[in-house]
Formats: sequence, structure tokens, C-alpha cells
Amino acid sequence: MDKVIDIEERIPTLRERRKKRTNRKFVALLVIFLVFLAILYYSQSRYSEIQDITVKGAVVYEKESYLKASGLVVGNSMWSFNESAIEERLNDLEWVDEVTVKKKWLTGVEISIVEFGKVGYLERENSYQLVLSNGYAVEKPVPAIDGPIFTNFEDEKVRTQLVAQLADTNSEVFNLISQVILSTEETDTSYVRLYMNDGNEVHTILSTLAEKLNYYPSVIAQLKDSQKGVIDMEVGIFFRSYDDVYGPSKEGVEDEEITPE
Amino acid sequence: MKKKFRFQWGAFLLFMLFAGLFFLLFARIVTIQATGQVEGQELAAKAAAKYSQEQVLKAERGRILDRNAEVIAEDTLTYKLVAVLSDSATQKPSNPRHVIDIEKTADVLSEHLTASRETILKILKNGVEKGLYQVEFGSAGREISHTKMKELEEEGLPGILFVNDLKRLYPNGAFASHLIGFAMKEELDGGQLVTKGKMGLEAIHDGVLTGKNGKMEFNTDKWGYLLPNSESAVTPAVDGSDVQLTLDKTLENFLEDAMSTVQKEYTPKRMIAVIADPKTGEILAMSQRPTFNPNTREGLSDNWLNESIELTIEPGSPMKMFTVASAIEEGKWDPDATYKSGTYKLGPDVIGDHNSGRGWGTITFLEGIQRSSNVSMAYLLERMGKENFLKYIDAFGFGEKTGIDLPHEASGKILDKYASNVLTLTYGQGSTVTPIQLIQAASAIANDGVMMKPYVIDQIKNPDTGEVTLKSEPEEAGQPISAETAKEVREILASTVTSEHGSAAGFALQDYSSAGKTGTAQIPGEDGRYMTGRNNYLFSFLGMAPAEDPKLLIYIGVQQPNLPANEYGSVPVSKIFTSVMENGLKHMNIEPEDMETAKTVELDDYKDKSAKAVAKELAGKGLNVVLTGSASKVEGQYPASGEVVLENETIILKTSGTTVLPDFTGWSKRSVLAYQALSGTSIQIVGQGFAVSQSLSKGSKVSQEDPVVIQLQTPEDSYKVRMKDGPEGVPSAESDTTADTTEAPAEEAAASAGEAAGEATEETTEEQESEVNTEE
Repeated sequence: MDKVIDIEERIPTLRERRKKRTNRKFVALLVIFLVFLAILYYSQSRYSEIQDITVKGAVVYEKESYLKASGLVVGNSMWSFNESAIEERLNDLEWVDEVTVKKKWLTGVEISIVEFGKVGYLERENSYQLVLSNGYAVEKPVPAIDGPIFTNFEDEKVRTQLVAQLADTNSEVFNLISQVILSTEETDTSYVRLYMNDGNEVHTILSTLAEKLNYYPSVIAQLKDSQKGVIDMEVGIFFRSYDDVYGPSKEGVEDEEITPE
Repeated sequence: MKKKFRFQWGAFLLFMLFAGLFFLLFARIVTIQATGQVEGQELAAKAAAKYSQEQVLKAERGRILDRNAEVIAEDTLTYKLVAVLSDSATQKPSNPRHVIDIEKTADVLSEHLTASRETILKILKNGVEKGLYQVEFGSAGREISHTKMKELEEEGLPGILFVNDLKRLYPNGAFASHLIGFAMKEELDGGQLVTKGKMGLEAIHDGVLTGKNGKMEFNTDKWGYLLPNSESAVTPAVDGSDVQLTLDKTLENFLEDAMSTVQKEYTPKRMIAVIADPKTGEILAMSQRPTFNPNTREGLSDNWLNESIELTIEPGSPMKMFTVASAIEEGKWDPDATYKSGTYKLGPDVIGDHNSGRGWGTITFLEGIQRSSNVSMAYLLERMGKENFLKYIDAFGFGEKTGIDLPHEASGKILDKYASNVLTLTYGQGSTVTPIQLIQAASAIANDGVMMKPYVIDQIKNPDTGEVTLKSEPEEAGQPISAETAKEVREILASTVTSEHGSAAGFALQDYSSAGKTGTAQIPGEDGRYMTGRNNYLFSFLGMAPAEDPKLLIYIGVQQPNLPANEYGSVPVSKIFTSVMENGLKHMNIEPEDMETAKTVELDDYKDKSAKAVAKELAGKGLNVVLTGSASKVEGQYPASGEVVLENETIILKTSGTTVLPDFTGWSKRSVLAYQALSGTSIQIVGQGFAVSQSLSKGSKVSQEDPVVIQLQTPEDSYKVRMKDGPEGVPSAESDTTADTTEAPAEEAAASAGEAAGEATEETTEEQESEVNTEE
């Protein structure tokens, strides 16, 4: 054995080279190891967990209910959820129009929600339900009412129709609507009766409500001062005073035409 | 360094075990693949037989729509009721699949179906006796609607089944029936049922309306579930194209209603009516009597003619409008010139005016046309000359088909062989025309000289492919007269309605001007000679409205009505005309021009501003401002900032401090609720409509806990009360400022009294009592 001398030991340059290679290998292995270690450490530390969740745009329902619906909990891993899956889940809520879920920095999640707008209130036996612009009636008590009141619109299909019509009415007219009452008579056409804030009553057909009601300001502009009555918008547009319509029947009551040719 | 291999028995055995299992599986796959047989059975054939199915995908027949895409005819799903009688249908006694209790079944079914209990019972018993597997119930058990089917299903009767069935439905009932026609089920050679157009548009466009059935070959597993990846075998059905008409459903309904009313009252032998838009030639409504209901074909006689285009008539006096138009265009019309009315002699022939040839002495030509004098026409012809006049008749399109997009159009016959033929043509006797020709010719007068070709089909479009096979555009059919002439004719025709001796006085509309010409045409009887008797005429009217700029053109013909002794024949015609035109124009002319509009105000954000200043500013803009408290700073507002409101609207500003109640009289529910929300008071609202009373009077100071009851009433109720009880409970939007004499002075007084005393008065209950009293 003593005679055998490793060739590398005899040639110093070779030895040097070999050492370098070993070093490089070692560093590479170390890096891999450290990366693994870092990942391990990260996944164990609080920096991989959700620290705060912000909810923007929650009006109809509170933030908490959206948090609950999203299924996100502070302390969950930042990698345990998929943004689009959460978006989908929140979008399934009938009162949500749009939603975006974003990760913010290391540990933050931001949920921005656009709810459907408020349109009015559905009158139930002794309570009111908020009605949104997609026709959905929110199932929770309403604290304050600041919009028109819908009666007999329990049927979602008809309600959606109404909401679509109201979306097309000009805002000054919309602000004037106090109540919309659907006729309960069984007919093919849905007749509605509206009570306006100014004391007039409007009779019209649901499918042409917006189109006709937008003439309302022109109609009342032609009425004599403080004259109140029924504006019939079912076919044309007529005004008849309450006396004529609801008073005792008189002979020869004639319609007063509002729209000139 | 050499590694030493150590053989381990355990590992080897395990390896061998799995390798063996794999080998077995592999071998099996290879054999099946190679031979295609399992236990001696052909697999592929078995699978195909078991899972592959073919189903016909039914194409829906196209719909017929009006101009606004309202449905006139469509296929709807109905159900056929079947009662299974054989007990072989039932596999488990706990879940019966056949009728067990015949009596009860008959009871329940008779409640829902049109058939009586006895009939149903008989059918069921008969079926049981004959040992039939199942029975049907004829027409009573067919065409059951979805809702009815659901109701019956809820009854939970065993053995009652529903079979899908497509049905052609005409939701409007009798509705342009001779134009639309009908389609019905027909059995093909293969026993397949196909809906086929039999009459009218349903028959004419049967080809495009009928879709192409598709087919689906699909694979299912043994429970009938669809297997994936089998879509390639689907040949989709192509639904039939939709035929969209120029008809207006609302106008057509007005016309049908008016005609039905007249039909009932006068039972004429025949009625024809056409309404068109003179600007485009679009037919907006078309109907005739007798008619039928296309759903049941009840009332359908042998007469399948769409008479508006297929029947030739001697039009009578409406023809005079074209004679006058020709004379004006020729420069031969002088309204103030006079002639001797009564009779006119042409060679051996003598014609007379309609009052037995007595005439009205020497009158002007204008009066002549107003009185519908035949003799005046004769003189106009004399001035124009025969050839010239016939040139115009030709230009107005008489004697030729109009080319409307419907088959079997008649052309009528213009007689011009003898001078007397042309003479009688000037007032519409002898020669024949179709109602649609009259409409086309009159469109020249209504449309400033330009004659429009009539058409009924707007477009034919396939809802599946979006392919448009036909699209109609308005088409001119010549210009027989100038715009000035057309205008003058309209003025003359309007005067026949308005003038004191106008023959069309009954055709005046309440809100619009109308122009037109009545007619009382003689009808040739069976023997070819004109019939006599006061009912035996074709009473008609060819007219338009509004006269200045006609939007609607109408022809109405009523043949041989049973007239009461004191009525003229034009009365039933005018009844149709006035109601259809008045309603029709209102239906169309909702567009008001240059209308005054109530002023609007856009609201700012008033938060943290001085309540007093804001109230003053808004009051200056014509709004009613109500504060909820006594503090000086605004904390909230209703409606929100940025909202646009109309004048006189109530604006509520939230201010803290003690709440002093306003006078709620006339307030709407929405305003009261908004007040409640902003003020935080506990207001209880009873009723609908507008506030008529409040439990605590105006000026009362209330805290959050004090309950306030506000009674609302609909105008309908409050006016009934008021009529009996004097002025009470009248809603008024601005009772503070403009309490006019009729409006609730009692209420006002009570309210101000309450204010002075600063006390609450219980008005609600009092008023209710007084209501009760007055009811008796």
C-alpha cells in the first residue's frame, strides 16, 4: 500500500480541480436542500396563512356573511384555495352581480363584490323584502325603506319583468312611484296599478310600463293645478279625474285626451 | 467498489405474484380484442343491441307572429291522458301502476276534465270488461295543458299516465282567421302524425313553416343513462321558420271585437275589413265575417276565401273619390261650379241620384260629392272625357291584381265597352274590384300621390339558423296623382265627414279628423239583377285618419245587415270605423310632439349643511321639504343626492332633535315609509294608497317610542267615501299650500286644532266609525 500513491495527490492541479467539483456539487445540493427547507419552513410558518381578508362592496348583506360564504378562514393556507373557485361560489349567491377575489401580498385576500342594485321593496303580509335589480327578493328584514313598494309580486318571474321595466324608467319618474300593485285577476296580460307620490293613480300594462310611464311628466304638466285622478296608460294615455272614475256614475262622462296628434 | 447483490426470496415472490396478475389481465385483453367473443358471445352485437337507441328529434313547426313578434300561431306542448287498466303493469303491489279504484278515479277525473263522471266511468268499465291494457278519453283527455296535468298528477291516482303531444295553438282565437288559416294533424303513410297547413298562410307557407325532423342515435348504459362520446350520431332537428306578418295584434283585436259586436247586433250576411298603413302598404289588420276559431275550427263554412283579396265586389260610392281625384289632376274640378242634380241622361240611359233621382236642385260640385251625388260624377266624366278617366282608373290599379304576397288574388273586371259602363264606373257600379285594390288605390290619396303595394309578410326567418328566406320592403305601385291633388282630395273627403250635408257625418272621430267616402252599393242577386229592399246593399266605407296626415287606411264592407227601422245602413259601418280608428290611433300615436314637461330638480348632497338654508333653497325650486327634527344641521336626506325629482316632490331631511309630526294627509306610502326610516319614529302604516288620517295630529312632538298610526286609503275607496260623506279623506299632494275648496277642509281644521292644542286626537277610529255609518 505504501508504494501506491494516488495519482491525484501527485498532481496538485488535478487535486484542485477535483476539490472544486466537489464543492460545486456540495453547493448545489445545499441550495436544493435549503430551498426545500425554506419551502418547508414557509409552509409551516404563519406567512403561508391567510392573515386578513377584506370584503369590499358589501351592502345588502354584511361582510361576515360573505366571508362565511367564501369559505375562507384566517389561518387557512394561502395555497389551499383557488381564486376562481371562490368567485364562482360567491357568484352563486343570487344577490351578487360580480365578484373578484385577489391575493394581496403574502397573506392578504381581497374580495370585491358588486351586488345587484336596490330597486324597491316587496310587500309581504307584515313585512318588507328588499328587491334587487335582478328581481331577487332578499330574505331578511329591511331596516329602512326608501324606494317604491311592490304588492302582489311574490312570483319571481313577474317580479323580474317589473324590475326590468323599472330599470328603463327615467329616474325622475322612478322617484315618483310610491306603489306598484299587480292586479290579481287571472288574465293573459299583467295589469298594474301605480300610486304616485303626487297623489295620482296610473293604470297600465306591465310589459309597456316603462315606455308609457316616461310620458308621465308631460302628462301631469298638462293638468290643471292640483287636479288629481287616474292616468290610464293601458292603450293610449288618458286622464280622468277621481270624480269621474270613482265618483257616482254620471251621464256622458268623456275621456280627456292628453296626447295630441 | 462493487456492490454485493443479495438475493431476497420475499421480494422475488412478491414480484412474481404481481407480474403474474398483470400477465393474466393482459392476456384477457388481448384475447377479447382479437376474438371479440366472451363466453362464446359476440360482444359488439350484444352491446349495440343493448345500448344503442334511435330517437326521432321532432322539429317544431314555425310560428306565425305579428309585427311586434306577438304570437299568432305556435306549437305548444299538451298532454294526452291515458288510464292503464291491466294489472300486469304493476310489479310491486306497494307501488300500483294501474287503475285500482275505478269509482274514485272517475270522481277525480271528472273534476278536472270536461267529461262527466258517468262518461269516464263508462269508458273505464268498458275497458276492464274487454280486458284492455289501457284506455283513452277522446277529446276530453286530449290537449291537456301543463298546469292541468300537474294538478292531476298531484292527485296521485295510480295508473294515470300523460303522453306528450304537440298541438298547434292559436292563442287569440278568431283572429284574421281567413288570412292565417289553420294547420292540423295528418297521418302519413307510415302512421306518423304530421301537422300540416290546410288553409290560409298556414297552407301557403307550409313548406317553410314545417321543420325537418332530426334523429339521434345514442348509446345508453343499462339503466338508460346516456353514455359519453356519442354525440356524433345526432342529426339535429331544424325547426320551421317563423313567419312574421305586418299585422298588428292590438289593431286586429280592436277590429275583431268591433266586428263581432256588429255581427251580433245586425247579423249581416257578410263583412269584410282591411286596415293598412298608407305610408308603407303594410296590412295591419284584416278580417271578415263569418269567421271561425282556428283552434276548434268552429264556425268554418265552405267559404274558405280570404275575401279581402279574393272576392270581387261592385264597390259603390267609395269609387267616387277616385273620380274626383282624376278630375282634380286633370284640372277639371271646380268645387264652386254648379250643376242640376237629380238625373242625368246619356243616350237611352238615365241615371239618378240616390234619393230616387229627386236630387237637391242646383248645387255646387262640392256639395255634390258631400251628398254623394251620382249625377255630379257624370258631369265630371263629361268634362274629363272617357279615355282620360279610364287612364286614371288604370293608374289607380283597378282591373289588375295588386300583387299582394298572397295567392289566388282576384283582379276584378273594369267594364269599358259601352259608354254607360264607364258612366256607372264613376260611382262604382257595374265594374268589380277587390277590397285590397280599393286599399291600394286609396293609399295614393293618403300618401301624397304615391300608391303603395300592399303586403302582409314582413319576413320569414328561421329561429335556429337565423337564415332569412324572405324580407319585404315597402314597394311603390306608381303615382297616379300629384301630392297636391292627394291633399285636395283628402280635404274634400274630410268635408264629407264634417259638412252639414255630409254623407259620412257618422264617421267623425272624437279626437282625430277623418276623411273618407261611404258607399251603399247595389248587389246583383241570384238572377243577375240588382236586389231591392232596404237591407239588400253592401254598405261600406273607405276612409283614413287623421285627415291631414293619414296614419291608418281602412276599408269596411257590411253586406245585408238587418237594420232596425230607424237606422241607416251606414250605422253598423260607422260603429266599426269609429271604435277601431279611435282606439287604433291612440294605440299607435302615443308619441306626443313638443310636449310640455314638468320641471325636474337634481338633488345635491345636503349633509352637514344648515337645514334652514337647504329647506329654503329647495322650496324655491318648487319642492316640499319636511324636516324630521328640530336641530339645525342636516344629517341625511331622502331621496339621495344625485337623484332627479319632479317638482312638488316631497324631500325629507334628517335632522336630530325632537320630532314634530307633519300633516301626512295625501302622503304616499313610499314617502311615509321614508319619513319613518329617517326620523326613526315608530310609525305603523295601515292600508294602501295615500294617507287620510294620523293618530297623532300635525305638530305633535313624538319620541322614538310613541306609536303613530297612519291610515292609508286608495283613491278608489276614499272617493266612494267622499261621495257619500262629503269631503273627507281626499288625498292631496300639497294640502298645506293649496287646499282647494273641494279638498278636505274638515281634516285641515281638525289638524290645525290639534296643532294649537298640542294634543293627540284619535282620528283613525272616529273616521272608521263614520265610514261604517255611511255605508248603511
